[in-house]
Amino acid sequence: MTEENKEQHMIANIKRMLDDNRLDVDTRAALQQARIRALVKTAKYQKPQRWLAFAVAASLVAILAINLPYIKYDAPSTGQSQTPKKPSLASNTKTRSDQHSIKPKQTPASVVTTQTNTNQARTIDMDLLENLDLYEDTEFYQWLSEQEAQGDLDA
Amino acid sequence: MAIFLASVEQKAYRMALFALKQRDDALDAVQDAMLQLVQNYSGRSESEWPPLFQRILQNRIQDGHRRKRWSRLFTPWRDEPDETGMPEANEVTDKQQLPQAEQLHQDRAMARLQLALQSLPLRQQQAYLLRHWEGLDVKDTANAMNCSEGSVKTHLSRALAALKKQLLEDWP
Repeated sequence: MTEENKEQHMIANIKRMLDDNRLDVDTRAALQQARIRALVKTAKYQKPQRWLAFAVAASLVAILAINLPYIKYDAPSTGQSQTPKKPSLASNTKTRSDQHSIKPKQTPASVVTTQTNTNQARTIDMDLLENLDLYEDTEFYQWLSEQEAQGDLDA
Repeated sequence: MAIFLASVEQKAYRMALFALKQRDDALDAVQDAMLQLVQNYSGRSESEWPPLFQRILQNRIQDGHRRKRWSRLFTPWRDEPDETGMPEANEVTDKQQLPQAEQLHQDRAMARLQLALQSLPLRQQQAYLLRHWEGLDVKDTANAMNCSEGSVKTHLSRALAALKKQLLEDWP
């Protein structure tokens, strides 16, 4: 028997012995339990994950559905922030004069933006003027009351 | 998956027991490996399961071995009993039907084999058992052991040399 044959014989013998040597009943039962535990644990671990994913997705959809009408979005051409308005009764009901009136031509988006900006500036100016008037009135009434007080003193 | 695990669990346990020398540690390692395989790889095809399982198991064995080495370093007075020894009396095996002398001879041979395998360094033990008991080729063994094929060959030749030295003299 050569050295290599001896080695092969030894390897085969070891394999046979290891295969033949069966485990005792307790160990086999413990292994079976471990296997079942691994399978059950995994099933338990996976179940809530699916529910969690479903719950998260459902709540996101609900939030989106509730907030969708109020979400501000940028109009692509004007760059303005717009909020979609609820259709009002006034805009839907057309009067006779509206129907027969000559509609103005639709202006391009850039012109609309400029006009809106001008309108906004005008509104701000008007507010300022109003405040200035009020301030002047207040000043006048204050002066008047002072004069009256002085007149009382003179008299 | 359950069928696959049932088919590999006994060999896996024996491998873990050779390396970790304690029943509970070996059971833990096998259970962890099963758990990880089911959790992470149950979606893979069945042909991929054996190498994946071996890889996970060998990692668990290595972790356990490392842990034991550290605990032995810090608590050297603790003498852990070796639980891989001779078969117990209540063991139900086919050997009970053998004549008494032959059974005694086989038990002795088995005890010597276990001692010889346990005396091997972990990597040599893993290489030998995966290659010559589990029947994996060099590539799969290297994959399971997370090392190169060259390393597997080196570990294997050293393991064979050590086993020859210990067993060939008066072994069946």
